[in-house]
Amino acid sequence: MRPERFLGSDPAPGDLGSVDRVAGALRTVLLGLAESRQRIEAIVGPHSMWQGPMARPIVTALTNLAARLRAIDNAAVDFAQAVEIWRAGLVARQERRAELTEMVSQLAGRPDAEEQRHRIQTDVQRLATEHTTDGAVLIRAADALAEVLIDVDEDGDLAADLDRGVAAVTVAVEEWIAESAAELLATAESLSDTAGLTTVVSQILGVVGDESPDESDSVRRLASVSAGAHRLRLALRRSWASLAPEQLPEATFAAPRSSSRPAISDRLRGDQTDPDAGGEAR
Amino acid sequence: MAGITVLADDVRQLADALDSVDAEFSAAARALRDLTPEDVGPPDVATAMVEVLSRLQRRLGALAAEAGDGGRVVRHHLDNLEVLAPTEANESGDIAEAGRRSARDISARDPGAEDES
Repeated sequence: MRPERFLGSDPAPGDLGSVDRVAGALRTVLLGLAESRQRIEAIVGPHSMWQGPMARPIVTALTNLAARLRAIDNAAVDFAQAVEIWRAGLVARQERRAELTEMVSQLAGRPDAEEQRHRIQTDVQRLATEHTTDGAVLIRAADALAEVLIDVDEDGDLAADLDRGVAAVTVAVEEWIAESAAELLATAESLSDTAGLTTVVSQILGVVGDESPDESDSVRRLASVSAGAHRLRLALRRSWASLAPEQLPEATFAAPRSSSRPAISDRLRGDQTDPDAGGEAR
Repeated sequence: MAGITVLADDVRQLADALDSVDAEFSAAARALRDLTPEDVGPPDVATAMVEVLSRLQRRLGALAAEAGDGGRVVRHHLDNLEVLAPTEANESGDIAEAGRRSARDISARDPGAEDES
């Protein structure tokens, strides 16, 4: 039954199927936005491999991308909620429209029902006003989303930033391996106390990133399988059996005064002076 | 070179993430493009809906392209890293050779060190 024929005009136009298809597509978009943002945030999170100045272009570019996705996500959620509200109102109003259409059709050919027809027309008018008001809310939500979509337009070049960052990190890792391998073995084989070992390992691993290596699984993993760390483990395995004294010396970060050799930390800094030898270089 | 292998894993994760963003947003943009929201309500509501969905579709398409470009660049680096990454056999050879080099370094720096071990 066409409402226009009985009510004069349609007080609640709108195709429910179309609204449902829009709502379904928006749900797909929201899922995609949320999953993509979470995946990107996980890649450059505080425990990721991408730490330190070399990786900064990667972290900055992906953090900006995640921020843009979050802004679109938030605005799209608001818009999707407005669509859901529009849908609920549309269903209710179209049900009422059907009732009013049915009532008017029942009054056809009855000149004595003028008062009833007038009441129905008032209801129809009220329904149309409500529909227009709810439509205005949806239009405002659409405008808000459109505004965010314009705002997140960025001039940055993600690909160029990633190119620069990955190239820098690759070079840094290659240099770290090349530079640390010989030093690792040399210092590990000459370790004389526990404090020295602690100093050496943290200094060597500190080359990888700004943070403590304990705070990053990726860094630990990198250190655990890198060529340099592998040689350190080999050296320690070989050294402890033959070098470990019967009683381990007390752990201390101070230079060992009783030893004839300088502290490992001093040796790494290049200070090879033997304190017990009156400043004579080894 | 094992460090390069691990770096390759991280670079691969980065490329995979960007590729998935590309695929996700391309699919979402297609879903929006196929919509016909001209009859969701009165003309002014329908116009606003058509406009914002079209804008959203274009933005998602642009983000997909941006992520896709990023993924291709990262994958290019990954290809180079995988060329660098050694097989197990030549890695053990590399370690053995590095060990010999290190032993020579130690002898040169500290002649007594090798005797101690």
